[in-house]
Amino acid sequence: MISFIIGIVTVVAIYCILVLALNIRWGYCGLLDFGVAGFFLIGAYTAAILISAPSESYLFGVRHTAGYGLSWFIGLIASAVASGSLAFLIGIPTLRLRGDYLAIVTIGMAEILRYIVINEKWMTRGVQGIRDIKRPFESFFPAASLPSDIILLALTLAILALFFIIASRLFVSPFGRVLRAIREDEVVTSFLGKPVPRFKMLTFVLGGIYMGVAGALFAMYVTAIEPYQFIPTYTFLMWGCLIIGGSGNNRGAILGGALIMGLFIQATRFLPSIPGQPQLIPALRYIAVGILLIVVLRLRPRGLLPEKTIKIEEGGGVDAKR
Amino acid sequence: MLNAKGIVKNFGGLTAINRCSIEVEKGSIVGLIGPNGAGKTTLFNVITGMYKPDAGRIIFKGDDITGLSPDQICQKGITRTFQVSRELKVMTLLENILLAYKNQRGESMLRGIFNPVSVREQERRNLEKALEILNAMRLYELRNESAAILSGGQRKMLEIGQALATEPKMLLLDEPTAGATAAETAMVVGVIKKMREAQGLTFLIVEHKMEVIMGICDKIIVMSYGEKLMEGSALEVRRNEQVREAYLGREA
Repeated sequence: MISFIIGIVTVVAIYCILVLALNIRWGYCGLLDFGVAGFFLIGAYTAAILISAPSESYLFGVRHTAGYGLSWFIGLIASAVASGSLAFLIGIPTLRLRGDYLAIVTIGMAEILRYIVINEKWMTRGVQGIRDIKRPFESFFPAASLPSDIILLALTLAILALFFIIASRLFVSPFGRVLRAIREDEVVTSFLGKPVPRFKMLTFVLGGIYMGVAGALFAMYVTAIEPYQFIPTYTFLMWGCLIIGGSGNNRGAILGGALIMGLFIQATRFLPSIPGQPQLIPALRYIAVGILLIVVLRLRPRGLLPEKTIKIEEGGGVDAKR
Repeated sequence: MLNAKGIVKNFGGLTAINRCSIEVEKGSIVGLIGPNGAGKTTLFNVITGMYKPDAGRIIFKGDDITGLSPDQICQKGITRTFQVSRELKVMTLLENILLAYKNQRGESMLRGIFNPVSVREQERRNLEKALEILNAMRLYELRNESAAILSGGQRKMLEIGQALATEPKMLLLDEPTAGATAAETAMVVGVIKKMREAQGLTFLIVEHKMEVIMGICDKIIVMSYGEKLMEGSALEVRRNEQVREAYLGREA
């Protein structure tokens, strides 16, 4: 039971990192990012390939290899670098465009990456997925043991806390002020002397780094990844989390992530399955998220914890009040 | 100070500005008038980098600034305001002003995260200056309110305050008193005069209220159909037959 709860908290915390990243991109800067799953995928596969033990397999005469057996820490850093670099490359042509074009490019990119992963079997083992991804300190605490779960939970929560602090400090900083200005009116912001594309790029890359690290943690959590875990559904679930929790508010992002992903993963676990209709009960989860989204938007259009107005007092103190 | 030579700007088959040249001397207030569609706002957009001209050069303080981006032009010392004010509504008035200061150390991502003393010092200095500006604009009481609650005239005041916070050498004001009451109009005029005297700021102003233009401008440039019709003092403009025709049409 305890191990079950630890597992749920870990995976929900990983999704919360994704929501936090989306909040930086969309909530702060207004970047319409529909490619969350793609950045998550890059992070997860980079970590998985680097961390997992070298293995070879033959299927229909094709040789699949995967795994470099490197340290988990290298995998984590490499994921951040890979996903951040991907964000940079995508940002070069798209961040000058209007918001809806960024949305189209990012969702397309995420799907293309998923199909690359499905088809480039020599590197990713295709739909078989990569297995036996090592967890931190696996030589001391074998996977699927309680200490190993606790270590991963602690690592995940520590990273979530660090990312939360960074995001919150950025929000009230002059940097965050420029981002919010860009979100409201890009044109005015550029006429006030701010190089708008540079700010957008930094924000996009920071979001990419967050999502890449989340992907690496995810790979270590599930220890076996496959392309199906990165379908666009997850991107839109993250949007649901952010909108319900409160776009522009980091606490809201975490609350929305915990609520929705907790609900999404667990809501139907204790319902009996209907004989002959195995897909029915799991599909209820999507309905539940949809209903919650409608109810929250009706009653609290700005989310459960709306963005705060930053009030500055004469003493120089910054006070973020509702 | 500002010298725009032979500016041409086409939109498809429409020539919005046709070989227009204007000159603004340092420390002067120059008015830009003309009927609707004469190309005044387009000329503003060309000077401030929103549009690239199809021909012509823009020289500012001896530097060629043609084709620079809006933020680069702002960094050179030209700040503009908009015909329909575009204050940032989710932000407080104070944030609107604080945003505008140049060379903010805290606008670097890393320094924004670590918030070192140098950033806080600069924020405090900017805060003092921002409060002074809000005071001068009679918006001090509303400093921590969202900019969405302001009246039309107050929006204009906030926008001018924001432009001043960029510490420009030259200000381009696009109808600074549109939507302002008589009292607010007088205030805007007062602020413009004061800024010129106290800081030697240079102004280029598009305005439809003739009493404003005639009252403060050293020189008035009249545009019509994308071309410069004439320039001169308020008196010369008022007496000019062509100007009257451009506005009112020819006598039958």
